Amino acid sequence: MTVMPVDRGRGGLVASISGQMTPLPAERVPLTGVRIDVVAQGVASAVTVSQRYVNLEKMAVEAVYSFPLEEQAAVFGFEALIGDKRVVGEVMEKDKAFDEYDRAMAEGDGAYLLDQDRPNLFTASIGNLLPGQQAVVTVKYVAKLERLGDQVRLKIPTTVSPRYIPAEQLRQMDPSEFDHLNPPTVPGGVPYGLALSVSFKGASTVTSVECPSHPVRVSTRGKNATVELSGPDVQLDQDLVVTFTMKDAGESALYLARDDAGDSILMLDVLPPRDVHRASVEAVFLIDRSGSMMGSSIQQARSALLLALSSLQEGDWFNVIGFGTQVDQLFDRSVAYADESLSRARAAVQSWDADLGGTDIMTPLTRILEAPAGELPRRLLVLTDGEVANEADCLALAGRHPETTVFTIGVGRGASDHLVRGLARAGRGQAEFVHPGERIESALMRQVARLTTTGLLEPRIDWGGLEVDLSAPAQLPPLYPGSPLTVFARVPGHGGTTSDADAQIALDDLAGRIEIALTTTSPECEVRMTAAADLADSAADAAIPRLFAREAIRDLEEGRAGATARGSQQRDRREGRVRDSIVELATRYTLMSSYTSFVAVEQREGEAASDLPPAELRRIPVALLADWHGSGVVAGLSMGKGRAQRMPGLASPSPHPGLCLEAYDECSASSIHGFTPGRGPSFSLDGLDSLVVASTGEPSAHADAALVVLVGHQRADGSWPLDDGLFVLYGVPGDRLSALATALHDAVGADADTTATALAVRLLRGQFADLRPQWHLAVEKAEAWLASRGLRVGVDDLWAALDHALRRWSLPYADGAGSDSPH
Amino acid sequence: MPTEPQRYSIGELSELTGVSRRTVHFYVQRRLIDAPLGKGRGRHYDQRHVDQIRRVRDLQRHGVPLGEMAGGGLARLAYGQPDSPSRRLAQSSEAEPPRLGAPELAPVLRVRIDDNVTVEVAQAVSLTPELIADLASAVSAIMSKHRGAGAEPAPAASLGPGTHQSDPSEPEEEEER
Repeated sequence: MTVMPVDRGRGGLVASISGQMTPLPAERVPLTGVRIDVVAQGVASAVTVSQRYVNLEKMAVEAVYSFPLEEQAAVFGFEALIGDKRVVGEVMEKDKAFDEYDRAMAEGDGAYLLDQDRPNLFTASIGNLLPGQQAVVTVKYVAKLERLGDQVRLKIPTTVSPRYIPAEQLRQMDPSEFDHLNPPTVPGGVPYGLALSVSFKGASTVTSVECPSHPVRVSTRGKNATVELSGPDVQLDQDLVVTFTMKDAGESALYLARDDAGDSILMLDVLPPRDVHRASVEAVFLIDRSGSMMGSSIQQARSALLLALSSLQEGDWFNVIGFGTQVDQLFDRSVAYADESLSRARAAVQSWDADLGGTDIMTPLTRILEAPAGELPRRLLVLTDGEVANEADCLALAGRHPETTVFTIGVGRGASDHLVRGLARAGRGQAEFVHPGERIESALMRQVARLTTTGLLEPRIDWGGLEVDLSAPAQLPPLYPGSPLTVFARVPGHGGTTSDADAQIALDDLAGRIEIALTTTSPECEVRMTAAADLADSAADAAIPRLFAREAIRDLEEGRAGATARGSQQRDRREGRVRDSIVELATRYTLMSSYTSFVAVEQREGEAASDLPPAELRRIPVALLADWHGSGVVAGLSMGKGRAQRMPGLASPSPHPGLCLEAYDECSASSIHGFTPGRGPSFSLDGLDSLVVASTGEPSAHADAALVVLVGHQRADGSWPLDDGLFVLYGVPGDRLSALATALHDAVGADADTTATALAVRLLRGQFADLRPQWHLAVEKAEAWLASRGLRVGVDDLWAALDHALRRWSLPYADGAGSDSPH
Repeated sequence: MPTEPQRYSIGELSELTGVSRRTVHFYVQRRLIDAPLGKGRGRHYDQRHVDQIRRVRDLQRHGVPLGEMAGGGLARLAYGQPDSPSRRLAQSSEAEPPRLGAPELAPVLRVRIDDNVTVEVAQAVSLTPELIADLASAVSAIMSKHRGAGAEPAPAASLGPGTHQSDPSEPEEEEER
């Protein structure tokens, strides 16, 4: 890719891609390989990224490589190994570090620099790599493990995607920043590969390991698991995603560690209760339809959104907005959730494509957030791949509008975790990520469940009389059921006492009995915790002070800590103070930040190094993201290339083997097999056939598509119509459906809609039991509707009558029926 | 007696021109401006570097891609060819800046075919690697045909502006759309 910033009036981006016909000249790419080693245990993963550079040319070169790391990364180490000589990087204020690098280069020394361009994007510069010389550069970081219920999810990015840069930003952007954000990008692979290993130790027995992104080798023993890429030199063209499922969900815990200066760092990891109470909300769905969403991402988005729409309830208001460079807003303003608005939304969403241009997310965000708030709490769900350069503006905008809670879902093979996590942080919501090999529906329904909860649980923490001099995050986000909240606090070393003489508490004496209380605005949620950690033991976990410092820096970088300022002079002073605070924290804890860099110098002696000709620049090209712009996409809800790799012997077989109930031959002609392209007749279900055709024919895709079709027929009030064209797909032919309706009418006085609704609920609970997170809101709504029908008998009698009829005709779902059925 | 020319450190040059130190380094490495004078600790910049940086910024503001200035191309754009738009720009800062192509609203992606040809594609187009390859192949064929028999093929495609070694005898860069 050549870097060509151009002013296109209103339009932005522009990244260029190499269309070269000649093979990449490998000798001009001094990077020969990347190795990533992950050790994940306790609260964090410790990651070492090693990059091997070899200069095969006849002159000295300066290799410049821009690469991604996890946004959560607290980068604490940078060093270079040149032969047997090791030079260790030092953290310095950014300009000083560069001066040091520039000076070393001018004097002919080996110079090594690591810059943070974004919290998830870094650039390593290897200056003066001599002909024939080899240097191995290592970057070390720790990142908090991402827990979700009984799972831990690792997401390691490997490439930098072309991103949208608004024209205004392009005009003002520092050219070297632009260069770092837009490394040369080549389709078809780069001449250096990736090797990776993950060593995981869970809190309980590991029951399964899945890697939807890459073919891997997995081995497990008890709480331990290891994962390795199964081929050598894998392309760095998409995120590596690994999910470890354990026997038990973790518990809330309090950890204690000591930093190098002798201060104590407390880390409180709270797992809120799972119960949720549904409230009426204004739900706004903002869906990225820019060109970068082409292919699997937009397909995922469509099917997920159809499910989300079915999960709202009467009483809610909603709107659906697609955006690219243009904005496609379904309703001028949010409307009441009713059959007509729901039908319009479903029809619109099905026709959506990734055809709206660049990712100009600021325009719709501004429009949504600045609209006057109504009576209902406004909850915004943003679904995007996040490939933009103006993350800071987006985060600041969300932070200025606390009346709207922002939830995000990052989709695709390389979603920008900085934008996706950052927006949710600023908007006090939650972020989720979905790789094309994973089910987007699960993540989306978790988000819908969060965004429809009654008044958010605002936590408050009482540090039990300890004198806390800095805590992070500075502003606690709300607690969401099932989503862990992590809070850090620093207690000054041996003087860790309160000012009240009667309550003097020396932290050293407290090991094993510190009591921390976390309470919320709701009496339903109160957590009291006692420290389980012992100071002596916890000192071993060096990750905690670094995680704490990174979180505190993030607060400062994103404007959530430090005084607010109005005038321009005040703003300048404030910026100066924030900068000083960041540099102070980063140098104390040896961390990268927006204002600090790592620099290392390899003194070269004996030759007149500075007399050598200046090093030639070698910008390291990066691989174009796999499936970028839909390249290589097969129609499908999940991608062929990134098929989930399940651990042999531990994975449960799919409960949806084709979904066709072979025992019912009379229905097979139009059974669910019709979902497979080229198999069975095509059919139309109110336009849902486009979704249906998009299925790959994989069992899980079948199940998802079949579920979307069924739920897509639910009315706004929660009921289903007695539609024989629908139920025949699930093994209930038309004549049996009529007989069922008659039987239920005679037995309990059920009308046609009641029969259809009861049958649909039975179907969801039985046939789609393992997809419960995706339909439970729809079923709750249906059951509320059934309860309000005023049947002449109780609802229990309705279920009994339904089961009786299903058994009588040997129809599926009898008995079934259901493990999950409450009846 | 002539006065000693003013000497600047990289920090001073950065302050004078309003670009970061990294950008000064970036411009030198991409040969958008001359290398610093002197060697080792005696390395410094002078007024010529200040002027060059200002010119690069001007050209950038007026929409000239860095790729077209790179590899000594800036000198060629600004001074080398009598009728080049950049020369006119360099001669008169009042002149209407040249626009490369008609203004467009839609964002574009640029596919660099070789040193001489870049194709712009609306971002809404699904730009698959296969399409990129086809595009490159078709455009290369057109270019070879029009260069006529005996013409040298374009130099090997580069990966980025920094690796770009332009031959000043090559025709002015052009765009296809």
